[in-house]
Amino acid sequence: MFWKKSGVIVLLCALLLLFTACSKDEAASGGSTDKKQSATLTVWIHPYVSDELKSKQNEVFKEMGERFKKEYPNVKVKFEEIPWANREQKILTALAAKQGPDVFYLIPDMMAQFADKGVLAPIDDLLGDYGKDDFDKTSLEAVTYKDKMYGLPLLKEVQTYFYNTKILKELGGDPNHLPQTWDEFNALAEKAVKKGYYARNYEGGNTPNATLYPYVWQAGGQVITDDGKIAINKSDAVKGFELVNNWYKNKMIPKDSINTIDHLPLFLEGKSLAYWGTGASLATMKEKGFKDYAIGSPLKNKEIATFGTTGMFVVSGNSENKKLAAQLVKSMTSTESLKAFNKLTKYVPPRKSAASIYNEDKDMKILTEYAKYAKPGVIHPVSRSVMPQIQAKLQEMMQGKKTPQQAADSAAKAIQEEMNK
Amino acid sequence: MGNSNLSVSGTAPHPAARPATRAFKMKKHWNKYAMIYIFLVPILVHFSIFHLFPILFSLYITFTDWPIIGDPKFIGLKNWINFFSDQLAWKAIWNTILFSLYYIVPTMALGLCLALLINTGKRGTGFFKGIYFLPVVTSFVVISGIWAWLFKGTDSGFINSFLGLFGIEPQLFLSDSLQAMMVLAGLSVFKVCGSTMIYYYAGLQSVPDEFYEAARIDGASRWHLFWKITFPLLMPIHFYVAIITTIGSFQIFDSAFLLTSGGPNFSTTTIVYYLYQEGFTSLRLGYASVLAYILFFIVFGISLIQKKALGKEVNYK
Repeated sequence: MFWKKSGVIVLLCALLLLFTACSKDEAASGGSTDKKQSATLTVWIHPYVSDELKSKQNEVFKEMGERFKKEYPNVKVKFEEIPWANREQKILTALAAKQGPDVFYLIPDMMAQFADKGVLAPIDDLLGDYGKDDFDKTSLEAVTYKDKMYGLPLLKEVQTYFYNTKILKELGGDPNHLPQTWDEFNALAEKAVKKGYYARNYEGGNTPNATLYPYVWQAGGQVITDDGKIAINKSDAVKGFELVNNWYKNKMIPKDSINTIDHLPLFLEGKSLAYWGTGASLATMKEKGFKDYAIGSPLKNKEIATFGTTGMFVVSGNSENKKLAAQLVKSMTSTESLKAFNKLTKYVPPRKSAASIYNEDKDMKILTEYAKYAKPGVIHPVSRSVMPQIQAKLQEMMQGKKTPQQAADSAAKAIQEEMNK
Repeated sequence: MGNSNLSVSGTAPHPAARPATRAFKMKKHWNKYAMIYIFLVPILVHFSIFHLFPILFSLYITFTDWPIIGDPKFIGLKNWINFFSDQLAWKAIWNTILFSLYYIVPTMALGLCLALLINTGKRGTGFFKGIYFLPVVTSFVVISGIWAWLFKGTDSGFINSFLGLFGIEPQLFLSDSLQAMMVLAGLSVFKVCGSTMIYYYAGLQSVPDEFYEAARIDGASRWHLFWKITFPLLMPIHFYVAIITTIGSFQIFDSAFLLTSGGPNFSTTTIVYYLYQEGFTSLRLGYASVLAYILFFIVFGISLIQKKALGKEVNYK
């Protein structure tokens, strides 16, 4: 009798375990989520707009929360705004203390570093259908590390040229036929220098994402190949170093380009033919009443390429509600959400279906068009930590202490050392 | 205590008497010092949680590989050994020493000069006291913004425009490896000299007037009054100010972070800036903790030397 009873209990336990395991498997494979479950999800956001627009930003996030609540009525979404300054430390210390948000915002190089350290939850299997084909290819590359997706894109930025049309005409250029290649730009740059203008800005205090990699890519080179090999000192990539070196040596960029972080005033004062900037620069130009500009394409040597970060929402590895958090990320990056967010912040929406927000805005329409050329940087765990080293090698080259090839070789050595650590 | 009693008297006390004596002594001790212990509890708890624990924990972290998240992985002395072959760490230490050289003496000298000026007791000194102290209470971010504008390395920079009036070529300032550190030190001197002024001003108040009167009767000039009376009698203040400015100089971070991002070519990467990068950008907390301990040893060593050199008592009474 005892053995019979025990057998029934063991059988029941085994069935229960099997059932639990099946439920977990189902959840993990992106199947339906229990829409009646109750939970509180915390999202860390940042001030993506100026103080004057802060209330509008709050409104956009509030609507995102309400949209999610329609699907999951028992889930409370808490948005907490974290200042940009030292956000990395804040996120890391919170996560180290097993606290912090369920969902937070990252950019690609940070994502790769965090994913490598196991801080983030891969969400491929938690999302279900998220409209993959609607996202542009480069933005999905930006949220992927080692074949796993760690987030969904919220915004895209694109760097390109803004030309001062007055100076351009003075140099014999045509605002309707702006330079497309390195040679065309450099020819115009020489004329600009002869007339006492700078050809363009160069903010060497910024990361190599803005100061070097676009030229490496345009020359057909790579920094680190997709299979993790260092390529920054290969002949194509070195052409990127040479381009910057020639600009500096020939005074096409200002003397303080070595490590300055803001050359926009020079452009606004009419001292520079072109400005290599983003939608944010465009907003400042408009705010300052600067109207004599034309937006040109990123340049081409072997291929057209530029840098443009992809901002994304990711799910914390600490979250107790990863599946729900992933669903929230999906909802916050839906067409409706992206339209509202990007229209306010003036970023490029990474979904094709949201691009219509700029149908009436000529400038943003052009930037949205160029976003297809924007690479999200170098997706590798060392890409972030090696940046100061690469920046220093570029600076040494500009100071005349290294040739472009030597600078590229020592950058390659620095990457290798970082990989070995 | 019991053992020392035994060795002194040569005879063991009665076994039953020993605990009674100890209990009595403890009770007496407790009655006498109870309040002191009670009042000490909050500060001891605070010190243990916010100072002692982080100090000991960071020492433990130096022997681990810890990217902040997850459990620290014990790696023995690897981080300490790596330090000796890390050229950038040595460069950061050298940069910090260089910064200290540009910073400590000017901060002390300027603070003393300003204190002498406001100590004259003439009309308006109260106003100038406030003006000189203003940078101390102004945010580093604001002052850095102003200095970035002043020392812009193009011909449109304020200082360069001024130099241009005398036909001097525009200087690179923050984009030049040598000048950048001087500009950072200048900013820090400007920011901090107001507080050293206050220390010296307080010190000047304590110098008795009769020393000056006696010296004047003996025909001492102002120069002699300063070097023979004021300066030596301020020795405790010199010592204190030297210690705090040295410690401050080795902790320099804000200006390098805000104005130069450690560049150009790491020429303004100070030890704390490098520590920050290693800890929070490269996520190597173990190695960053080694750098923190190295910084501690350097500052401790220098403070000891300063104590030896400047800590002499000066007394004319």
